[in-house]
Amino acid sequence: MNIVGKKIGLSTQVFSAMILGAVFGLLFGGVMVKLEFIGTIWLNCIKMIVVPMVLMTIITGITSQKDLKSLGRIAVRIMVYYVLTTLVATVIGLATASVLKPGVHANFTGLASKEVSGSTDITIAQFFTNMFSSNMFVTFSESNILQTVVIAVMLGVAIMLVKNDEHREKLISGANALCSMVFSLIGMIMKASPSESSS
Amino acid sequence: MGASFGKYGTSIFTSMATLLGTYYLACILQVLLVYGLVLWFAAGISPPLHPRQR
Repeated sequence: MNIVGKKIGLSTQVFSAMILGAVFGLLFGGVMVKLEFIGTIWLNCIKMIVVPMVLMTIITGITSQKDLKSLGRIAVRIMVYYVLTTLVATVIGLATASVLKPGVHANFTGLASKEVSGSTDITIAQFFTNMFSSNMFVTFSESNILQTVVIAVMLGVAIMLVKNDEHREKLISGANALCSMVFSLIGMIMKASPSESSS
Repeated sequence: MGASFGKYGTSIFTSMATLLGTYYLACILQVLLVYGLVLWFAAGISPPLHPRQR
């Protein structure tokens, strides 16, 4: 977006839209409540792109390797990276929320409550069993990221193991093309983020 | 944002600001600590220089 010949960055647009949205919400509350669906559409688009993004980035990451020898190390690295970053993200999220306590000043009266069931203990065997999907389409539709990562690793390895050189090269270039498409789609969705922030 | 302020008015401002602040702080910590360290140790790229190297 250009204003008076000066390019405005996306983050500036998002923050400006948030402030404008707050002001418009206070001035024209009824209209803005009716426009809430714009934000829901954007959130749906973000959720929609998560699984394809994880899938295609991992597949292209694996297929960009020169030989099969490095694949094992890459697969282990991906899993270790995924588990560690998720663990640290959880710790950071819990620590930040514990320190700042964002729910202290919130008023929840009038909001629907839902009983949350307690956590269940799972064995290591169950954890590893749950990593492997019995139906990849169910995994994608449920946005199960751990299973998606495993499927992506398996698909990437499968592409590398295709014996027919021509077919393998076609699959690799197809995966690269799909990855470019996914990132193009992410770019499209992110360009719409200021409108979501304001609504 | 507009819908939230339209529904709950100014009373939501403090809780919304704290919630957004918490979210952004957690994201900044994750990006700087986790991805920054991974970028540094695994890829050998200095995180402060990364945006200029792209």
